[in-house]
Amino acid sequence: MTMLVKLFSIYKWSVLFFIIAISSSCATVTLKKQEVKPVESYKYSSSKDALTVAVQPMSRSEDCIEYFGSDLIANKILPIFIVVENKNPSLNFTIFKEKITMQSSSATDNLISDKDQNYLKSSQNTGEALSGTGAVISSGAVFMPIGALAAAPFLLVAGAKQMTDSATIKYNFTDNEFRTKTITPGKNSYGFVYLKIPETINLKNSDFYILSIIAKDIENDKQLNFEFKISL
Amino acid sequence: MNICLSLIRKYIVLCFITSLLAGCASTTTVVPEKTVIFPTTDKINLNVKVEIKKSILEASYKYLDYEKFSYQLGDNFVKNIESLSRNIFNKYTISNDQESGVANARFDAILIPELVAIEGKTGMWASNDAQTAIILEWTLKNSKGDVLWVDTVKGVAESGAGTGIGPNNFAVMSNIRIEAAIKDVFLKSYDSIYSSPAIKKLSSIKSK
Repeated sequence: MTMLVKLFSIYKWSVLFFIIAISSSCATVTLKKQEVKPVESYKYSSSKDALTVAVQPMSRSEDCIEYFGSDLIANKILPIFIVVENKNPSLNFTIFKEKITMQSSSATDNLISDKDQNYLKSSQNTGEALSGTGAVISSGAVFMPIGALAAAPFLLVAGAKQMTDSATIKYNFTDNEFRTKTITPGKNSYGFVYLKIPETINLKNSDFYILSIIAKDIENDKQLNFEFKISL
Repeated sequence: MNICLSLIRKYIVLCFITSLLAGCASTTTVVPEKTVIFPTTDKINLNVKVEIKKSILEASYKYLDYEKFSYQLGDNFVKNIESLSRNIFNKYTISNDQESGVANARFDAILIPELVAIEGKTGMWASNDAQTAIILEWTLKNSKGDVLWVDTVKGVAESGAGTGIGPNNFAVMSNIRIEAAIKDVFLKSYDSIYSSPAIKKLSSIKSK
């Protein structure tokens, strides 16, 4: 009889545990989708040879949580939404994601730290960017892009509460990334570039930042430099 | 009524035991074998070297980062890349990293596919949606190594998340999504490469 009571007690607890387990994890995280507006309507927008580039930094932690399910700023990642539209009737332009960089305005800011240098060198997407931007490293601190895969550990640190949420956050992060692409006439391309904020930098300390994007007309071996002076 | 309650109780206990035992499952590695059937169109008159990089050869994916349920995709990707090349170009040579000695000068162009990411997401319940995405980057270079064209192509597949047990369980649904995402990414890649302005230009130069 005692045995039966014990078994019944275990049964009750298992049912309770099961119900708690289900109710605590039934809501999968829902993330907001970044709206793509006409390229000319962004605050930071510029055109050259009928190629228009617009950028929109996401520097508020609240926005990052809403769109990415994670406080990227606290994890030293700055997402910047980029929209490119090619209205040139004949030229193709290629934007290499790895060559997008941002620089702080203050020359007194520390240069990119050794820790960041080592991190960026070890991440798969940034080797070319480091060598390609030697000229700008000499003044303010430089923000380099990191790939979604390299950034994944930062997302997990931010604490997805369960496996499915974690997968959704990672999926969304990768899915929304701006990709290197040749943009043919009449086409556009958009997505987020994730810039690694140097460890020593506080985003609010600099008056403005210079974001550089290079568009290459490969056929004619011509390069268009887009520079945006942005406040965060 | 009592029978009904009893059945519900039994089901709850069964679910609980199943959820406890799920962690004891042995490792499952899935190797998709189906290859994509590409459209038959006029081939482009180019002799192309297709460089297979490590990211393709070693492509793999863990279902929800779950160590015991994973996919080995490298062989499948290589077969599909070869099939795609055969259907697009008059002449092609597949070369992997270990055979980098293949001289580039004798080729009209070098085509390099790279795996960017494989990601999946799913809801908690069988009725929730699940998605799998495969992203490939294609780079075309001339024989000197200058980049002529780049495109990043995303293949996506959607289905229900799948049940814990039964014919539509999560593993079966995941396999279906992986196969569909492979098909989608390679068919989109085919369209992208076939309509690439850089490839058309190279071909027209060669034909003159």
